[in-house]
Amino acid sequence: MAENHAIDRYRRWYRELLRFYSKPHRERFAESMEQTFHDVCRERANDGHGLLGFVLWMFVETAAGILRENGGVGLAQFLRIVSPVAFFAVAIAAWVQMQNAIAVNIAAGLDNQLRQLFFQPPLPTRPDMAEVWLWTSGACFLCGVIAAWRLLRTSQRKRLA
Amino acid sequence: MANNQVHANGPLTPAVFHILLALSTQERHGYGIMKQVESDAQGKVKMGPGTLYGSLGRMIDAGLIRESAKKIDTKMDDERRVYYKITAVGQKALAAELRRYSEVVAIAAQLRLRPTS
Repeated sequence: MAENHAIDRYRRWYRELLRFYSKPHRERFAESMEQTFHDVCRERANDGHGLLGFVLWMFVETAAGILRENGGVGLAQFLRIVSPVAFFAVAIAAWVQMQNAIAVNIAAGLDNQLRQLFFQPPLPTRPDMAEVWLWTSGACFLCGVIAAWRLLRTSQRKRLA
Repeated sequence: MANNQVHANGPLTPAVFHILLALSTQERHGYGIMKQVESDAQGKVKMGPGTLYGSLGRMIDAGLIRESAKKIDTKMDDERRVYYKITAVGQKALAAELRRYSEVVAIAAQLRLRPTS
Protein backbone atom coordinates (compact mmCIF):
# COMPACT_ATOMS: atom_id res chain seq x y z
CA MET A 1 0.00 0.00 0.00
CA ALA A 2 2.77 2.42 1.02
CA GLU A 3 4.67 1.37 -2.10
CA ASN A 4 1.67 2.25 -4.29
CA HIS A 5 1.62 5.74 -2.82
CA ALA A 6 5.36 6.06 -3.41
CA ILE A 7 4.99 4.86 -7.02
CA ASP A 8 2.15 7.34 -7.64
CA ARG A 9 4.28 10.13 -6.21
CA TYR A 10 7.28 9.16 -8.36
CA ARG A 11 4.97 9.01 -11.37
CA ARG A 12 3.81 12.59 -10.71
CA TRP A 13 7.45 13.75 -10.45
CA TYR A 14 8.30 11.86 -13.63
CA ARG A 15 5.39 13.61 -15.42
CA GLU A 16 6.92 16.93 -14.36
CA LEU A 17 10.32 15.86 -15.72
CA LEU A 18 8.74 14.96 -19.08
CA ARG A 19 7.63 18.59 -19.44
CA PHE A 20 11.23 19.43 -20.40
CA TYR A 21 10.80 17.51 -23.68
CA SER A 22 9.82 19.47 -26.77
CA LYS A 23 6.06 19.72 -27.36
CA PRO A 24 5.96 17.36 -30.39
CA HIS A 25 7.91 14.68 -28.51
CA ARG A 26 5.74 15.16 -25.42
CA GLU A 27 2.51 14.86 -27.38
CA ARG A 28 3.79 11.75 -29.09
CA PHE A 29 5.40 9.82 -26.23
CA ALA A 30 4.82 11.40 -22.80
CA GLU A 31 1.79 9.26 -21.93
CA SER A 32 3.52 6.03 -23.00
CA MET A 33 6.72 6.97 -21.17
CA GLU A 34 4.77 7.63 -18.01
CA GLN A 35 3.00 4.27 -18.33
CA THR A 36 6.30 2.48 -18.93
CA PHE A 37 7.89 4.22 -15.93
CA HIS A 38 4.93 3.15 -13.79
CA ASP A 39 5.10 -0.46 -15.07
CA VAL A 40 8.82 -0.75 -14.32
CA CYS A 41 8.40 0.71 -10.82
CA ARG A 42 5.52 -1.65 -10.07
CA GLU A 43 7.55 -4.64 -11.26
CA ARG A 44 10.47 -3.63 -9.01
CA ALA A 45 8.17 -3.17 -6.03
CA ASN A 46 6.45 -6.53 -6.64
CA ASP A 47 9.85 -8.23 -6.79
CA GLY A 48 10.67 -6.72 -3.39
CA HIS A 49 13.50 -4.52 -4.69
CA GLY A 50 14.18 -0.99 -3.44
CA LEU A 51 12.72 1.80 -5.53
CA LEU A 52 14.64 4.96 -4.70
CA GLY A 53 17.95 4.14 -6.38
CA PHE A 54 16.20 2.72 -9.42
CA VAL A 55 13.92 5.75 -9.72
CA LEU A 56 16.94 8.05 -9.50
CA TRP A 57 18.60 6.10 -12.32
CA MET A 58 15.41 6.42 -14.43
CA PHE A 59 15.30 10.17 -13.81
CA VAL A 60 18.96 10.58 -14.78
CA GLU A 61 18.50 8.36 -17.85
CA THR A 62 15.44 10.33 -18.96
CA ALA A 63 17.17 13.67 -18.27
CA ALA A 64 20.02 12.51 -20.53
CA GLY A 65 17.40 11.57 -23.14
CA ILE A 66 15.85 15.06 -22.90
CA LEU A 67 19.24 16.71 -23.41
CA ARG A 68 19.84 14.42 -26.41
CA GLU A 69 16.44 15.13 -27.95
CA ASN A 70 16.71 18.88 -27.39
CA GLY A 71 20.12 18.92 -29.06
CA GLY A 72 22.01 19.27 -25.75
CA VAL A 73 23.92 22.36 -24.68
CA GLY A 74 27.33 23.51 -25.88
CA LEU A 75 30.47 22.95 -23.82
CA ALA A 76 30.75 26.67 -22.95
CA GLN A 77 27.14 26.75 -21.76
CA PHE A 78 27.64 23.48 -19.85
CA LEU A 79 30.69 24.88 -18.04
CA ARG A 80 28.91 28.16 -17.33
CA ILE A 81 26.08 26.26 -15.64
CA VAL A 82 28.02 23.52 -13.88
CA SER A 83 31.09 25.49 -12.66
CA PRO A 84 29.32 27.82 -10.19
CA VAL A 85 27.15 24.97 -8.90
CA ALA A 86 30.19 22.72 -8.40
CA PHE A 87 32.03 25.58 -6.68
CA PHE A 88 29.00 26.11 -4.42
CA ALA A 89 28.92 22.37 -3.53
CA VAL A 90 32.63 22.35 -2.65
CA ALA A 91 32.20 25.55 -0.62
CA ILE A 92 29.30 24.08 1.38
CA ALA A 93 31.25 20.85 1.98
CA ALA A 94 34.33 22.77 3.17
CA TRP A 95 32.25 25.08 5.36
CA VAL A 96 30.45 22.13 7.00
CA GLN A 97 33.73 20.32 7.62
CA MET A 98 35.28 23.45 9.15
CA GLN A 99 32.23 24.15 11.34
CA ASN A 100 32.16 20.56 12.48
CA ALA A 101 35.87 20.53 13.32
CA ILE A 102 35.63 23.83 15.24
CA ALA A 103 32.48 22.77 17.10
CA VAL A 104 33.95 19.41 18.06
CA ASN A 105 37.24 20.96 19.20
CA ILE A 106 35.51 23.63 21.29
CA ALA A 107 33.16 21.09 22.87
CA ALA A 108 35.97 18.62 23.51
CA GLY A 109 38.22 21.46 24.74
CA LEU A 110 35.71 22.57 27.37
CA ASP A 111 34.94 19.01 28.32
CA ASN A 112 38.62 18.17 28.60
CA GLN A 113 39.17 21.06 31.06
CA LEU A 114 36.62 19.44 33.33
CA ARG A 115 38.00 15.98 32.76
CA GLN A 116 41.53 17.15 33.72
CA LEU A 117 40.15 18.31 37.08
CA PHE A 118 38.95 14.79 37.72
CA PHE A 119 42.12 13.10 36.31
CA GLN A 120 40.19 11.61 33.39
CA PRO A 121 41.86 10.93 29.99
CA PRO A 122 41.06 13.64 27.38
CA LEU A 123 38.41 13.11 24.71
CA PRO A 124 39.48 12.79 21.05
CA THR A 125 39.15 16.05 19.11
CA ARG A 126 38.40 14.58 15.68
CA PRO A 127 35.26 15.74 13.87
CA ASP A 128 32.35 13.35 13.42
CA MET A 129 33.06 12.05 9.91
CA ALA A 130 29.61 10.50 9.52
CA GLU A 131 28.03 13.91 10.00
CA VAL A 132 30.51 15.53 7.63
CA TRP A 133 29.77 12.94 4.97
CA LEU A 134 26.03 13.32 5.43
CA TRP A 135 26.16 17.08 4.95
CA THR A 136 28.68 16.88 2.11
CA SER A 137 26.70 14.30 0.15
CA GLY A 138 23.47 16.22 0.84
CA ALA A 139 25.03 19.43 -0.48
CA CYS A 140 26.42 17.65 -3.55
CA PHE A 141 23.06 16.01 -4.27
CA LEU A 142 21.20 19.30 -3.96
CA CYS A 143 23.71 21.06 -6.19
CA GLY A 144 23.50 18.19 -8.69
CA VAL A 145 19.72 18.57 -8.85
CA ILE A 146 20.06 22.34 -9.36
CA ALA A 147 22.65 21.83 -12.12
CA ALA A 148 20.48 19.19 -13.85
CA TRP A 149 17.42 21.44 -13.68
CA ARG A 150 19.32 24.38 -15.13
CA LEU A 151 20.81 22.21 -17.90
CA LEU A 152 17.35 20.92 -18.82
CA ARG A 153 15.86 24.44 -18.81
CA THR A 154 18.69 25.73 -21.00
CA SER A 155 18.30 22.88 -23.49
CA GLN A 156 14.53 23.48 -23.56
CA ARG A 157 15.01 27.21 -24.21
CA LYS A 158 17.55 26.41 -26.92
CA ARG A 159 15.02 24.10 -28.52
CA LEU A 160 12.31 26.74 -28.44
CA ALA A 161 14.62 29.52 -29.76
CA MET B 1 15.44 16.81 -33.72
CA ALA B 2 18.57 15.17 -32.41
CA ASN B 3 21.37 14.67 -34.92
CA ASN B 4 21.71 10.90 -34.28
CA GLN B 5 19.28 9.84 -37.00
CA VAL B 6 18.62 6.20 -37.89
CA HIS B 7 19.61 5.07 -41.38
CA ALA B 8 17.80 1.95 -42.55
CA ASN B 9 20.72 0.93 -44.79
CA GLY B 10 23.62 1.71 -42.49
CA PRO B 11 24.86 -0.06 -39.36
CA LEU B 12 22.32 0.18 -36.54
CA THR B 13 23.00 1.45 -33.05
CA PRO B 14 22.81 -1.22 -30.31
CA ALA B 15 19.53 0.28 -29.00
CA VAL B 16 17.88 0.23 -32.44
CA PHE B 17 19.16 -3.27 -33.13
CA HIS B 18 17.79 -4.63 -29.85
CA ILE B 19 14.42 -2.94 -30.36
CA LEU B 20 14.10 -4.39 -33.88
CA LEU B 21 15.04 -7.80 -32.53
CA ALA B 22 12.40 -7.51 -29.80
CA LEU B 23 9.74 -6.55 -32.36
CA SER B 24 10.75 -9.20 -34.91
CA THR B 25 8.44 -11.84 -33.45
CA GLN B 26 5.42 -9.81 -32.38
CA GLU B 27 4.16 -6.30 -31.79
CA ARG B 28 4.82 -4.96 -28.30
CA HIS B 29 4.22 -1.88 -26.16
CA GLY B 30 7.08 0.12 -24.59
CA TYR B 31 7.32 -1.89 -21.39
CA GLY B 32 7.09 -5.15 -23.37
CA ILE B 33 10.00 -4.01 -25.56
CA MET B 34 12.08 -3.16 -22.47
CA LYS B 35 11.43 -6.60 -20.98
CA GLN B 36 12.19 -8.41 -24.23
CA VAL B 37 15.44 -6.48 -24.77
CA GLU B 38 16.53 -7.35 -21.24
CA SER B 39 15.67 -11.00 -21.82
CA ASP B 40 17.37 -11.16 -25.27
CA ALA B 41 20.52 -9.59 -23.88
CA GLN B 42 20.40 -11.84 -20.80
CA GLY B 43 20.23 -8.80 -18.52
CA LYS B 44 23.37 -7.22 -19.99
CA VAL B 45 21.45 -4.40 -21.70
CA LYS B 46 19.17 -2.19 -19.65
CA MET B 47 17.20 0.42 -21.52
CA GLY B 48 15.41 3.25 -19.74
CA PRO B 49 12.41 5.14 -21.13
CA GLY B 50 14.62 8.05 -22.29
CA THR B 51 16.68 5.86 -24.62
CA LEU B 52 13.74 3.65 -25.60
CA TYR B 53 11.31 6.36 -26.69
CA GLY B 54 14.05 8.50 -28.25
CA SER B 55 15.01 5.50 -30.39
CA LEU B 56 11.37 4.62 -31.14
CA GLY B 57 10.74 8.16 -32.41
CA ARG B 58 13.74 8.05 -34.74
CA MET B 59 12.85 4.53 -35.91
CA ILE B 60 9.30 5.60 -36.77
CA ASP B 61 10.69 8.58 -38.70
CA ALA B 62 13.06 6.24 -40.57
CA GLY B 63 10.19 3.85 -41.37
CA LEU B 64 11.68 0.90 -39.48
CA ILE B 65 8.66 0.50 -37.20
CA ARG B 66 5.18 1.93 -36.95
CA GLU B 67 2.63 2.51 -34.25
CA SER B 68 -0.35 0.21 -34.23
CA ALA B 69 -3.63 0.83 -32.43
CA LYS B 70 -3.85 1.45 -28.68
CA LYS B 71 -4.80 -1.74 -26.87
CA ILE B 72 -5.23 -3.05 -23.35
CA ASP B 73 -2.67 -5.61 -22.22
CA THR B 74 -4.79 -8.15 -20.37
CA LYS B 75 -1.74 -9.42 -18.44
CA MET B 76 -1.19 -6.00 -16.88
CA ASP B 77 -3.91 -3.45 -16.12
CA ASP B 78 -6.76 -1.68 -17.90
CA GLU B 79 -4.63 1.17 -19.24
CA ARG B 80 -4.59 1.41 -23.03
CA ARG B 81 -1.09 1.20 -24.46
CA VAL B 82 0.44 2.08 -27.82
CA TYR B 83 1.87 -1.00 -29.56
CA TYR B 84 4.77 -0.88 -32.01
CA LYS B 85 5.20 -3.10 -35.03
CA ILE B 86 8.20 -3.78 -37.28
CA THR B 87 7.79 -2.77 -40.95
CA ALA B 88 9.17 -4.45 -44.07
CA VAL B 89 11.97 -1.83 -44.09
CA GLY B 90 12.73 -2.67 -40.46
CA GLN B 91 12.87 -6.39 -41.23
CA LYS B 92 15.31 -5.73 -44.08
CA ALA B 93 17.48 -3.52 -41.84
CA LEU B 94 17.50 -6.21 -39.13
CA ALA B 95 18.42 -8.92 -41.66
CA ALA B 96 21.22 -6.74 -43.05
CA GLU B 97 22.55 -6.08 -39.54
CA LEU B 98 22.47 -9.80 -38.67
CA ARG B 99 24.32 -10.51 -41.93
CA ARG B 100 26.96 -7.92 -40.96
CA TYR B 101 27.30 -9.58 -37.55
CA SER B 102 27.71 -13.06 -39.05
CA GLU B 103 30.32 -11.73 -41.50
CA VAL B 104 32.27 -10.25 -38.58
CA VAL B 105 32.02 -13.56 -36.70
CA ALA B 106 33.23 -15.41 -39.82
CA ILE B 107 36.24 -13.09 -40.11
CA ALA B 108 37.01 -13.58 -36.42
CA ALA B 109 36.82 -17.37 -36.91
CA GLN B 110 39.25 -17.14 -39.87
CA LEU B 111 41.63 -15.22 -37.62
CA ARG B 112 41.13 -17.92 -34.97
CA LEU B 113 39.93 -15.34 -32.48
CA ARG B 114 38.01 -16.69 -29.53
CA PRO B 115 35.95 -14.73 -27.03
CA THR B 116 37.75 -14.61 -23.70
CA SER B 117 35.85 -15.10 -20.48
